[in-house]
Amino acid sequence: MAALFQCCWIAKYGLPRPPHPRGYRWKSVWVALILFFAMIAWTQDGKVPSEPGSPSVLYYMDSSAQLVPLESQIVRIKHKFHALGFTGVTAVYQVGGEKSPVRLKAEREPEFVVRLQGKVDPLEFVQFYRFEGIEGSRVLPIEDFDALGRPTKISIASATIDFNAVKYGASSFKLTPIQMLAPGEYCLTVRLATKQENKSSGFCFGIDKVGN
Amino acid sequence: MKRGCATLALALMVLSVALAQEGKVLEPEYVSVFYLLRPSGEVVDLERQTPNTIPKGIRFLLVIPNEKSPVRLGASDEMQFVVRVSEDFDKATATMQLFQFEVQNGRRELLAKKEDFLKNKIGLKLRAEKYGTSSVKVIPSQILGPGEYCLSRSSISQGYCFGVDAPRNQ
Repeated sequence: MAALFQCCWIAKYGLPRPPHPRGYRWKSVWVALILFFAMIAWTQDGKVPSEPGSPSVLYYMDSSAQLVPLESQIVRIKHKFHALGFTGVTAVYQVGGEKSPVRLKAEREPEFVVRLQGKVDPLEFVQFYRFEGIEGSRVLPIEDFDALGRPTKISIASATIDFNAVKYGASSFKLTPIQMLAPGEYCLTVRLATKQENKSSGFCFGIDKVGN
Repeated sequence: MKRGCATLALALMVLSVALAQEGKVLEPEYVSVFYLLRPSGEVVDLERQTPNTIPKGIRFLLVIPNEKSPVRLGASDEMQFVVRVSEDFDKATATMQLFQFEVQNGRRELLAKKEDFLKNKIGLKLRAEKYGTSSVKVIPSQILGPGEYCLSRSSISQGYCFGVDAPRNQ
């Protein structure tokens, strides 16, 4: 191949091809390699985000991108009967304790991180609710039923927090509420593949007014 | 040897440029958020709403405030939408929904059984195509007449709404 190339060179220019200076040849390779790695670095965002170790556990991400555990709770479904059930029943989500020990300030848009197993939609698997602290527990009305068990009112939508989800790291998502959170009590829940009846895992926190 | 080095260098250059070009299709940042996709490739926000659900016997009434969506499309506009998904393409496309709402009582309403929503029995037909690396382009299978519409997924509670206006000469 090299001999054929040399013959073509002689035919064209009448002289043998002068050898390349050694440094020139390697310079082009080094330039290409540097460009290659620069492009790789450019296509990546340059930093590896810290992801939760356990799947389906939600963390608050503070301003320095550190993951802070939320209050781990059991969210139970309870039924509050009206007039012994003769006038209907209200299904509620209930969490123990009127206030979460994890307190965040209202001054910053909070970000949460969760690692989900498999290729799943975080908007399907994570729910974000606002609770009311009442008589030693946190409560969220879900649905009202009449005495015959027919649904009469669905209350959960008004307490549901809408959020955006963006891929974070290899298998996690960063969740951001689309509106500022008002002071109050909140829990995020994750729908597990093995659903347990009448209870699920919740990750709770409270938002305090700025200045408190 | 010299030729090998040059070929390697060239291959690395081409590879690096290809890597840099990957994902140049502008995909939405957020998962399960629908956008209008302009022919230029630009993505435009739709009206994001979480409908209020009111039980009506064995049916449910979905209610969105206001008669009209602030996002207006012309009847002759090209209607293509794009949504980023985190599942596999086939699984994700099975959840895509497009509903037409009725304008009643100063708001947008849609009455149906819960299973009809979940099994997509009342939705308009959509065609889905892969878009970029992690998104799906959805195109209504039929021309949308004037009215109020919302795109959604059977797995989420949010709707992404828009209105189609009649041509001006009608």
